Amino acid sequence: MIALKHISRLYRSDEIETTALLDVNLSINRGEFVAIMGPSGCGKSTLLNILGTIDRPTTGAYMFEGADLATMSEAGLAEHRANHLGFIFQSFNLVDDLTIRENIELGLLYRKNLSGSRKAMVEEAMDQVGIAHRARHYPHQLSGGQQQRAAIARAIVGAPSLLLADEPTGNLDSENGHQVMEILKSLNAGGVTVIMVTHSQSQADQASRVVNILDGRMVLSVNRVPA
Amino acid sequence: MIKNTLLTFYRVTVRHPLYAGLNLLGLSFGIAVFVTLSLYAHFETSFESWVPNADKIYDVGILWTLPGRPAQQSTTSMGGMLDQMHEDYPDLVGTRILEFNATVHLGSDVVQEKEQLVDPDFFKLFDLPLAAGSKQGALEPGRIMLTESMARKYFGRVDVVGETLRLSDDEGALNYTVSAVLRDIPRNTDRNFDFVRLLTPESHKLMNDYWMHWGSASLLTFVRFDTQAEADHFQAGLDDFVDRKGASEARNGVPYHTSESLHLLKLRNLHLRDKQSAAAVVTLALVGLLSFFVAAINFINLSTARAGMRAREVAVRRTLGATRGDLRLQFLGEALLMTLAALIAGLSIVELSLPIINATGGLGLSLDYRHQAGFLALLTGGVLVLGLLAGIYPAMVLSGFQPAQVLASSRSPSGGRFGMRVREALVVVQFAVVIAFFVLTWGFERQIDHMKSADLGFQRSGLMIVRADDPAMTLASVQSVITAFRQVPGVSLASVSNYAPGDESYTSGGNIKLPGDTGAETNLTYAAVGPDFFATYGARLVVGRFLDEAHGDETPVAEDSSETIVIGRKAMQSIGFRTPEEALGKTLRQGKRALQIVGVIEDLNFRSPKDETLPMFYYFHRELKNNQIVAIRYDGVAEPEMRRRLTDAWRQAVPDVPAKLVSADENLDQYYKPDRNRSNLFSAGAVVAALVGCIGLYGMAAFTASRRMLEVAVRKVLGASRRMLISLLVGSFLRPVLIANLVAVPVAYLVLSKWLIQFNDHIGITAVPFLVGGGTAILVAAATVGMLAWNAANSAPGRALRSE
Repeated sequence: MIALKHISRLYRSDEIETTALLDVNLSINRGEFVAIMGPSGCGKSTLLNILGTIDRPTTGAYMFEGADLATMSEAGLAEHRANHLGFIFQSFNLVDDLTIRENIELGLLYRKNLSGSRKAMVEEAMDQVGIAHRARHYPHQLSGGQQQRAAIARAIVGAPSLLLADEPTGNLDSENGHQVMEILKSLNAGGVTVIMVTHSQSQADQASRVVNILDGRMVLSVNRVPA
Repeated sequence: MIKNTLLTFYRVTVRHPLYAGLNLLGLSFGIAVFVTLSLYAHFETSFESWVPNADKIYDVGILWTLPGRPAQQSTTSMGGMLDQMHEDYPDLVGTRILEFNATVHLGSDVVQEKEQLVDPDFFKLFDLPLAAGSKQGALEPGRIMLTESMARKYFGRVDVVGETLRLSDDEGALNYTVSAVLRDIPRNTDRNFDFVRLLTPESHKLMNDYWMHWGSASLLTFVRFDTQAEADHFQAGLDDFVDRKGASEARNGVPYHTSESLHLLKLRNLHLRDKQSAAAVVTLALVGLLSFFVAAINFINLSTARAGMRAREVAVRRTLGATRGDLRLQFLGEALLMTLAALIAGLSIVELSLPIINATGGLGLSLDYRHQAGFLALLTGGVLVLGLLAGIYPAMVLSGFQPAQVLASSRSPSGGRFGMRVREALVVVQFAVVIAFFVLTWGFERQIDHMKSADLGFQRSGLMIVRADDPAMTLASVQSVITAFRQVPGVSLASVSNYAPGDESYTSGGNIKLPGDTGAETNLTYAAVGPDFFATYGARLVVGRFLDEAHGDETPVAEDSSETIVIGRKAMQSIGFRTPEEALGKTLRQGKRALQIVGVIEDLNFRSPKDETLPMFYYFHRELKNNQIVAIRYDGVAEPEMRRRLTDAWRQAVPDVPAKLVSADENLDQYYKPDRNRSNLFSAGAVVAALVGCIGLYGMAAFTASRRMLEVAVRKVLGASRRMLISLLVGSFLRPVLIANLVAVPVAYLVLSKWLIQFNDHIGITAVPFLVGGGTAILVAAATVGMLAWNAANSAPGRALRSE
């Protein structure tokens, strides 16, 4: 499904050149649950952003189901994100001024050629994460766990083939963190490819593969059978 | 997508009422001021534009160039001039308009109305629409036209053709048959056609002496030319025409047109012929534009600042697949919706305030959605452009953010140093305008107060004036009125003269030969005064004595006689005397007449304080022949009661002439009225601009304070005291306000001094308004920002830091 070939990402400011990623090669198959691990500042989030096409590699090729995303236009990438990707963030990033339902509906807003009823899709996503009873509330009225479940609903409402999660449980207590992990696992079981950045070994243990990054290089990729 | 834009706009508005309210309020007030002042400018510049073919109609005005006096343009002309023009230009189409105060007799009641006497060609120039009757034969002897309002007033209905009306004017009291009813004349006019009838030789018999006397000007003469070329050609021949017809007035072989030349003035330009009025209208239009400008800056500032706080939302939308185009559309759409809402609110404010403005200013401003469609379309267009401007910046900047970077940080990107600089510059411009407005308003108000309290050489309080110049009044009836007034309890003195406060016209005494053999001449103005004139007005004698019967001051009729005069200080200077003492006893020559100066007084300023003081001399007549104006000095009685008593006394003495009593203050007030109207409109504009400026500053400060929460928290952790934090936040906002002061002070000074120069007697510019205006701006800014800074400085640092 995904093939990263010799991906590097350099950041240049006036005098300093920082290497965030160096010559990363990574293939991910449909249906995998990949955990990306590594210490702070190692380039995990850069890798996730490149996978999510909200950052471009400096060099290298990014093939997604046969299409080269590294050279695709901005508009093409936007369409790609709308049709194929779902994002989950550590700080939820719900829009304050929209209700939970409206936030989730945002996940469909930029999709063209939408088949089926938008309303039904939103209802289904809310049911899937158990947030339907909060549909008319605003994000600040919800607990962290509820906000993250709403954010997941927004990410999956368009039935993406790839779900990108950047420390999705980082701002949650263990009980809510556990719930979120369960949702991700069940989505994965339903066929969605999940790539998740995490600090937690116990969460990484629940993935089907662990990729370790250190100082911008991929140091280890371990396939494991989920417990 | 549109639905989502509407939803987001609605949510942002409802959930951030302070921001939305400030933004909407500021812009709608700005729009309201702009629209109102534009309407005012439109009103003032549209005078007579409603007259069909107004561009083809010209007034023949006179440019007087008299020795010792600045050149002066008048709109009036000699009564018989049009007849003389017809001798030389038989095809000329023209009409005279002679205005009278006519008395309408309604049973035993008498009402004074304005009557216009016109020539048979009247309708060929002023093709006024009729409500009833026909133009054919409307202007024949014995017939009269009147407006709808007058028809309703006197008959209770509009179609009154064939009815009879009794009217007295110079021709005496006569019955007239109504020949036609004119539609009411719009408010934007200086020509009040209330009662219109034919100008006949009988109707100007009292003016016979001056009817064909070059050097006189008693009525308006209008001519019509279909093309500019024809008008230019006619104009080119006017100097020769004047020299031919006015040959008898020429002196020492100098062609007469060098003293009195004729000029065609476009009908449409007559109203703002006076440069000061024109400048005032332009100024007000500019104030309107500036108010809108300030509000627009404010709007853009707040919109972009607010949008900057939505960077995270933008980043999220981009991860969801929004293109830059989608986001640009969203922000543009939101800004356009906001400006449209402000436009509607602004127009509502205008609709609500116009009746008040019209009532206080005597104006006829209206928002006419059908006839001013062009203006409204332009306004809507301007507002939409503003919406685009306010939307484009955030649309461009925000859609250009790298979502990865925005999402990686818990802080919102600021739009960079450039954005901050732009916003600071906008605050500078805004506050500079507000401070300049304050200084100018102060200056305008002070000048108007100054004019009202200026020394006019006579005592204004306790002085009533009544014109006894109705043609129906005889010498005897004027005397009986004066006698009756003198018996009214509270009245101490009553006198008569042919010149009084509020007079627009004056009589030139012609060129006066100065003492000595140099042959030098100067032009003086004179007034004939009756017994007690100087005492009644409370004039102040400098040297010599006032005129009275006891000294035998009665002016002889013979033209080669000698008479005694009193002169004003200005005349003294104009003649060339250095001191009043030097003038006393000297003799001037007016033609064959010898004028001996027996007294010098402080100048009596009866005209507008804008005008130069006239060089006047006064001579004595126990009884005036015509144009009598009675002045009454009273004491110890309230004005309304005195007005009632005098009106009663008048009715007893001359029952068939309406009493037109005015106080000296009222009489003078007419001169201040346009200035006060304009000053009021200006103040309204200035206040709104200031309000909008403060709203904007508050919004900006609130925005900045919230952005700097983290910085404040860090500084707190590092041990900064509350006082240090507040001064830090306030200080950063005072800088643009201080710069604004530096910009505003010289500009305001220049504009104010230019404006003041037009007044003959004007106030000096002190540092006070600059200090007060600048100080207030700084205080207001410090207070608004300080309040927010206080909150920020008091917040717990933990919360702000945790979200990092």
